[in-house]
Amino acid sequence: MRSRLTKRKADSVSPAFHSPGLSLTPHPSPEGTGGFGAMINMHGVVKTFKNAAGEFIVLKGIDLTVERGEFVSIVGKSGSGKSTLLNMITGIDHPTSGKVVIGGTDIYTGVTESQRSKWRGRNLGIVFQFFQLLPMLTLLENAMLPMDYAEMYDFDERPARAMEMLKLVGLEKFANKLPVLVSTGQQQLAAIARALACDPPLLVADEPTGNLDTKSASIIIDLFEELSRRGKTVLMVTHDPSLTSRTTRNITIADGLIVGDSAKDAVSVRPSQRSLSPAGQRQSKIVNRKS
Amino acid sequence: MKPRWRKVLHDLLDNKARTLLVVFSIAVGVFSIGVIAGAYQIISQDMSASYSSNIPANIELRMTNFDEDVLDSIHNQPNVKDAEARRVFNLRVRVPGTEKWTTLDMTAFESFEDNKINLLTPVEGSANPTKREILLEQNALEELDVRVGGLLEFQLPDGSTKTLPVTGIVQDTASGAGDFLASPFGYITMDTLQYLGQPDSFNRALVTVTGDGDDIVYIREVGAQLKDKLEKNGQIVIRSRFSTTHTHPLADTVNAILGILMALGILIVFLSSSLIANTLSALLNQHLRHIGVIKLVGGQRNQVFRMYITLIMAFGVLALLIAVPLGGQGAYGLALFISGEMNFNLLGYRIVPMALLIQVLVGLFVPLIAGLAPVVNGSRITVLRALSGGLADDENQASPEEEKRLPWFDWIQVKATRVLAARGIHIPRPFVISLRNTFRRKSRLALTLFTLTMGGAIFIAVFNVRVTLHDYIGQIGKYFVADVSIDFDKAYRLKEIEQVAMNVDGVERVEGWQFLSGELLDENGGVMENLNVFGPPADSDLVEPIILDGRWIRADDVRKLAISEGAREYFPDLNAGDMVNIKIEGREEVWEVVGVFQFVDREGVLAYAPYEYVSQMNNLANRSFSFRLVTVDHSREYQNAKAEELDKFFREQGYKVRVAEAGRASLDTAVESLDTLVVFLLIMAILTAIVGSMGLTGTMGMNVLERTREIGIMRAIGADDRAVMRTVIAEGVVIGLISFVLAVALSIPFTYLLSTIVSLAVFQSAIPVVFTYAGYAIWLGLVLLLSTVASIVPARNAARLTIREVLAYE
Repeated sequence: MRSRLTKRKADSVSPAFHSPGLSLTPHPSPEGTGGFGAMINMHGVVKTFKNAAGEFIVLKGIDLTVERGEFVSIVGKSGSGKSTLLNMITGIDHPTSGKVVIGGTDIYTGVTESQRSKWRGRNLGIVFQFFQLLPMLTLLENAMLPMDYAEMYDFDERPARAMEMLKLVGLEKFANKLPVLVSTGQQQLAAIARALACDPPLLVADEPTGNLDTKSASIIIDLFEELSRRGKTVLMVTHDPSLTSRTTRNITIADGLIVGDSAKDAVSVRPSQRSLSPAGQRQSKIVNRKS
Repeated sequence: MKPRWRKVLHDLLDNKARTLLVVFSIAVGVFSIGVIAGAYQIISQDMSASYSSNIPANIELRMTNFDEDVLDSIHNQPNVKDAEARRVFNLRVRVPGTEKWTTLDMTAFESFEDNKINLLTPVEGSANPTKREILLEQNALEELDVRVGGLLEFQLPDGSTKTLPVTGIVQDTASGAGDFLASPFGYITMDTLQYLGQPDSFNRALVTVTGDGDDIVYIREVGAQLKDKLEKNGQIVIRSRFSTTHTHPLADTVNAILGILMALGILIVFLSSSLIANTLSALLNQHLRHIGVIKLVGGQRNQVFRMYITLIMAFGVLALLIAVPLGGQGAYGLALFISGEMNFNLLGYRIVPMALLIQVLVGLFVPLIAGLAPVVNGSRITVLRALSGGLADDENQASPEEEKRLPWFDWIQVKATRVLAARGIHIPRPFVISLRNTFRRKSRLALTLFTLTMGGAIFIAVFNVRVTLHDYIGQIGKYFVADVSIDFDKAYRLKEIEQVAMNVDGVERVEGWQFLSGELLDENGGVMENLNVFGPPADSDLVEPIILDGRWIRADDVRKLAISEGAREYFPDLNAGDMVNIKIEGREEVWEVVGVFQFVDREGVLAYAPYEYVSQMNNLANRSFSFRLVTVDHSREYQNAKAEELDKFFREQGYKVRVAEAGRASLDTAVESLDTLVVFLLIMAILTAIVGSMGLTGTMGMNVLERTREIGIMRAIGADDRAVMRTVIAEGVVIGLISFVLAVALSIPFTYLLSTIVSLAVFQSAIPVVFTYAGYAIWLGLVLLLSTVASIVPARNAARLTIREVLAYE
C-alpha cells in the first residue's frame, strides 16, 4: 500500500491555508479592510464573456471582503452574476481583471489551472446544486477522494476520516452505497461530507438546496449554520429569500454589481463576537484530526 | 440546401477530430483489405505470367556428360517441342581483392541468341556474352559486390584461379525457382568451359513438351519415355524434374501465405467495423439532444434516419478517397516485395478492379452495417429522452424508501473493494475510478477488447509460429550435426583425409560419407520423385534422426534404407518393413524400408543407408568424395572460419576440393527464407495491433467526452492535471491488461491454426507447435505502451478541461 503521508503538508508554510505551488505572499486588503485575517478579498473584479453576439460584462468591478467564520448568502436574479462571482472565489473561472485573494493567497497571479485545482482541494469545499458525486464511487469513497487528490491525512487514516464526515451528516449507514441508491437529499449531505473531508476553512455552496425538497433543504442549512458556528467560513449562492434570514450576512448582486450588503449596514454579527475565534477554528470538533 | 442537409454538412466539418477518427477507422479496414486483395490478384496473375513468359522447361534431366547428338535425339523424341542442353557446374568465386568466396552455379549455354527454354531477362548490360565473359543472375549481386564491367575471380578444382569480366546482369525466373536454397547463378558460353577447366560437353537437358504444358501427368509420361530412350542408348539420367508451364513452383506456398494475409485482412475489416460501431454509437449519443430538437420541431423518424445514414455514407466516401489510392499503392508495394523475394516480375502498376470493388463495398457497407443499430436506436428515441440526454440517468430522483438494485457487475465491484478494505487493503480512490470506469460502457468495452485482443492474439501467435518454424528447422539440423562438410572432386581414402584434417587446429574427428542419387518408382516403374540417399557410418552420431516408425540404419543392412516422411506423399501408407522400388545408377532395385524419419524434403526425398553398404555399391570401400568434420566449437562463425581454413589447407596439400562449407550454412539460408514469411505475418499483426490501439484511443476519447462533467468534479475537489491524466491513462492500461489476458488465451488456438497453415504451405505437413515467452513479453510491453499512448491524448484533453467548460457542458 501507499506510504504514509504527512498530513497537512502545507501547514508548515501557512498555518491556516494550504497553497501548494502558489505564491504564498500574504496580500493585505486593498482597501485596508479585512487585512491578513480576511478569508476572501476581492478587488475590482471584472469578468467579461465574449461570444459571436458580442461582449458581455458579467461582473463590473466587484470589491468584497469576507471575514473568517462568516456565513454569507449571495442572492440575485438569474443572470445577475452570482454564480460567476462564486466561480471567481473558487478558482473555477478567472477574472478578466482585478484581484482575488483567498486566505491570503492571490489565486490567479502566476498560477496554473492545475495548481489551482490542488489548492482548491486543500482549501475549499464546494457544494453544487446537483451534488456532483461521482456515480461510480460509494458515498464513503466519494468522501475519501478529495483527501487522495490533496494528499491530506495519512493514507490509512482517510477511510476513518471520511466515515467521520459521513457520521457528521448522518449518512454512516449509507457509506457503502453508490449515489444512485440514495435520495437526492442524502446525496447532497454526502456532497457536504466530501466538501468537509480535507477540513477546508472555506465552504462554498452554489444553490445547495435548489434541487431539494423543503425538509432536506432545512437539514442542509442547519448543517451550514452548525459549521459556521464552529468557525468555517460559508458562502452560499441562493435564489431562496427564506434562506437569507439564516445567514449572518446577505449580499445582493444585480447586473454584475453588489447592490446590497448587510455587513455594510452594520447589522450583522461580526465573527469576532462568536464563541469560536478564527484562530480557534482549527481545533473545532468537526475538524479534529488524529495526530 | 435544406437545413437538415446543412446540419449533416456541419456535423461532418465542425468536429474535424471526430470526423477524422471515424474516417480513419473506416480507412484502415479499406486500406488493409485493398492491399491484400490487390496483392493477391497481382501476384496470382503476374507470378504465373512472369514464370511462363520465360518458357520454363517442363522436363529437366540431370545426366552424365552428353553431346550434340544426344541433344538431337532428345529433340526428335515424340511430344518434345523444344530441347536445349546446358553444362551446369559450380565454382567458387570472389571479387578480386576480397577474401570471401561464394559458390556460383555456372550454366554454360550453347547459344544465348537462340535460347528458347528458361529464357533470361536482361537487367543491365549485355545479355549475350561472348567467349570468356560472364553474365550474373541479379540475385548473385547480394553475395558479390560487383558491377557490369567488373571482374570475378574463379577458383578451379586444381587450385588455380581465372578471371572473367561481368558483361551483364540478367534475371532467371525459371532456374531454381522452386528452391529457396539455390546458389546464385552465372552464365557463360560453351567455349568458355575449357578456360575454366571443364569438359566441352553437356550434363543437363531442358525440354518443353508439345500439347498441354500444364498437365503434370502428361509431362511425367513424356519424361519417362524420354528417360527410357536415353538409358537404352547408354545415357545415365541422374535426376529428373518435371514442371508445368504456367504454375510457379512456389505458387502453392505464396498462395497459402496470401490466404493467411487475406484472412487477417478480413479480420482487420471486422476490427475496424467494431471501431466504427463504437465511434458512431458515441456520436449518436452526443447528438441525442440534436435529435430531440429535430423531432420537437416536426422532424420524423425517417428523416432523422436518412440524415445520419447520409452522414455515415459521407464518412465512407471520405475514407475511400484516402484508402483506395493508398491501398492500390500498398498492394503493388507488397506484390513487388513478394515478387522480389520469389524472383519473378510484375506486369506493372495497375488498378485491380476486384480489389477496388471490394474496397468500395467495404468502405460503404461496413460502416453502414456497423452504424445501423446506433442510427436506428437514435432515430427512434423519444423527444423527452433525447432532450433530457444522459443527465437524467445520473441525477436520479430516487427516494430512500424506493429499493433500487445495482447491476450485478457493479455490485461485485463495490463488494470486492469492501472485502479488500475490510482486510486493510485500501485501493486509492483515483484508481478505483479508473477500474470502475473501465466497465461502465460494457458494449463499448467489449468492442475495444475485441480489437485489442485479436491484435494481441495474432501478434503472439506470429511469434510462436516463428519459433515453431525455427524449432522445426532446428530439428532438421539434427541431420546436419557436422560442423564442416568438405566435398572433393576425387575420392580419397578415409584415413588419409582424417590424418590431414587433424593437422588443422580445432578439428576433433572426421567421417567419410557416401552418396547415392536415384529415383523413387511407382509399381509400374514410373518415376515418382528423386531420391537422395546419404550413406553415413551406421554408428555416426552426426545424424540424430527423429524416428516416426521402425528403426535407424545398421551396419549390416543390405538394400535397406531409412526414408523421410516425405515419401508418404507418394506412398501414404509407407511404414517400416515395406519394400520400395528405386532406381539407382540406372538400375531398378527393390529396397526394404527399415524406418521412417521426420524431415522436410527439398528437391527429392531423403533417405539414409549405411556407409558400409553404399560404399560397396559405389566401389569406394574405405574411400569417399564427401567428408563430415566435427570441431571443438560449434558456433556458425567458428564453422565458417574452419571451413575456410580446411578448404585452403587441403588445396595447399594438393587435394581437389570442390566445396567446403559450414554445417549449418544451408539451414541458415532456410531460416532466412522462413523469416521472410514471418515478416509478412508480423506486418499484419502490427496492423491489427494499430487498429486495436486506434480503437482504444477512440474509446478513451469517447469516454473522456462523456465524462467531462465527472472530470470537472474531480478538478473541483482537488485533482490536478497529473491526477486527471493518471485516472484516464490507468483506465486505458486496465483495458490493455484485460486484453492481454484474453489475448494470451486466444493466442493458443491462433498459434495452432497459423502454424498448421504455414507449415502445410511450406513443408507440406503439419509440424509440432512450440510456444515462446518472447511474443507474450513483447506484446505485454507493447500493449502497455499502446494503451498508455492511446490514452495520452484523451487524458491531456481531459486535463485541459476547465471546470467552467464542464459546467457549460452541463
